[in-house]
Amino acid sequence: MDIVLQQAANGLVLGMSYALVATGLTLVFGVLRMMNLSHGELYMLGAYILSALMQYLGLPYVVGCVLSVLLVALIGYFFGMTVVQPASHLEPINAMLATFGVSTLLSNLVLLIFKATPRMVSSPFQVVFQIGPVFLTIQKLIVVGMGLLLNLGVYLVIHHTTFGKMIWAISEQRTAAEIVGIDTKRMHNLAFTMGAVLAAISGVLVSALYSLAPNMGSGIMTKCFAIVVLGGLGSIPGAIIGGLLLGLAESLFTIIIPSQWTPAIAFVLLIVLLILKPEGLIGKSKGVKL
Amino acid sequence: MLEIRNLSKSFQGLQVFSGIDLTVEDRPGEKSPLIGVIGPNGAGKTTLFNIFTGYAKADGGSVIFDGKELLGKKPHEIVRAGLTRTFQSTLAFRQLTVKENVLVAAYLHEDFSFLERFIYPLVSLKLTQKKTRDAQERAEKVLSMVGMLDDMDMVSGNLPYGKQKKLGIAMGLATEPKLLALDEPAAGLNPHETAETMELLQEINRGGTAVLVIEHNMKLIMTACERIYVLSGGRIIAEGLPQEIAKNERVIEVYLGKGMTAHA
Repeated sequence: MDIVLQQAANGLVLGMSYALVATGLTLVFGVLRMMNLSHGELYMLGAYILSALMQYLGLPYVVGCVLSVLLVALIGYFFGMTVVQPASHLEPINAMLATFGVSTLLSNLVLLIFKATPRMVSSPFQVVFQIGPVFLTIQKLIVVGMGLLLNLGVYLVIHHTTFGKMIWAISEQRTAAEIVGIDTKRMHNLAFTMGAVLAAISGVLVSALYSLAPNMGSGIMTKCFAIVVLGGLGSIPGAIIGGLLLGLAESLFTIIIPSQWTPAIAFVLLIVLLILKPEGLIGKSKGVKL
Repeated sequence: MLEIRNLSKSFQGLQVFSGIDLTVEDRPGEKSPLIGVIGPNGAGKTTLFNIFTGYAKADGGSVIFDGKELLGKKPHEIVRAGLTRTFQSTLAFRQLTVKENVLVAAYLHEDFSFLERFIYPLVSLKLTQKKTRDAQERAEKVLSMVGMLDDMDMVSGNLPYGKQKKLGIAMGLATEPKLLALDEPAAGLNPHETAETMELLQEINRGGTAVLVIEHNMKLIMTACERIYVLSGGRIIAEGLPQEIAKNERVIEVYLGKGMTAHA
């Protein structure tokens, strides 16, 4: 029983980090109606920039985290404005392929600069404490806390503010949004940047838990793709629930199956869900909702 | 107010129109203009609208609105400058109620700051509350004007076609335009709804908003508009008062064929 509780706690941490990345992905999908294939690389970049800032500039972990997220936000805004926005005027597939180009560029750039050797980031929050039979670190608690806070924050902003309504208006009927004076390009860029920020925050938080590799972006991207389909395309609550479910499933299944099989869990869940409830756990039968 | 000069447009070598001149006068203290644009299908009327509202690029010419060049500006910038348009097809947010649709447009002119948009109504400031109240009051005023107060809680996607067209006009009005450009507001409407639309255009105009309308319904155009432009074969072939247009031989030829006479 103890091991089940321990794995459930680990699954919660893992799931919350997935949920953060998936929320960003689904936010961009909700607004731009295309899958941002560079989202995983923005997550990877968050972790790598933090690692570089700590190693080469000697910055403390927290300062490095803030700077790294800001830098990824700038990078996200730049690519949103120069690549995704111009491409989205053509067909959604063009914009999606453009993000694939950004993804390839970023992962190879990181590979070129940092090589393929796995890197580690040390956090001052690795103190272990015990709740009953479960052992956790402060870092893991921060991941869960930040995940909860940010996901709730994004949900509230999207569903209960004027900004969120403008985002929704664009996803619902872009031309009508323009007619009433909404700057759709700016809102697209902002949504893309918000997605990048969420990915980067997840990246800096988990960088102290797992080793970093240039291909970590594509790894999480395939899982997040499964999560957003699982939760319902374009649904933020769906992304959170999907992320937590996958994290818990991966963690708990390692009790009964070898850990090298856990990546397959996301896809088994995906296949089962696509057969039983193709619109996702929260998604409606058609349309996009935020 | 709006001065279109020597405007030209072609698609892949095919000339849609050229040398288009059109004026909507600014008459402070006097009745605002209500101008009609007519022409056969394919004459380029909607393309003309698309150009001066930022949805298409012109090959040449200029579009001056309130002393500023509009060509090259984005659609939302043109709306903010005071020129709002509607489309032939209704473009409301189908999942929102009638009032919410109009509110979205009304909020725009309250000039919320970025921070206000990001936090309101999660965090409610007094100034933001006032802006919201003002927007709500304006939305209700507009709905009253178009006769849709009783429908304000209906989901717009469930409205009959005629009311959806009216909602499009209401959304345009809620942005408080100086000039409202309407693309076939009576298309697909029955005679009763068309008569209502005609009265509505006149009421909007009496309220001080200039109106530029493309329409195929000749009764509406001839009754409501004070001046009419006729676009055909890529040119403005006639311009004048409704009674002059009704007697213009070139217009009669375009609409009825050579040798026919009109009884306007």
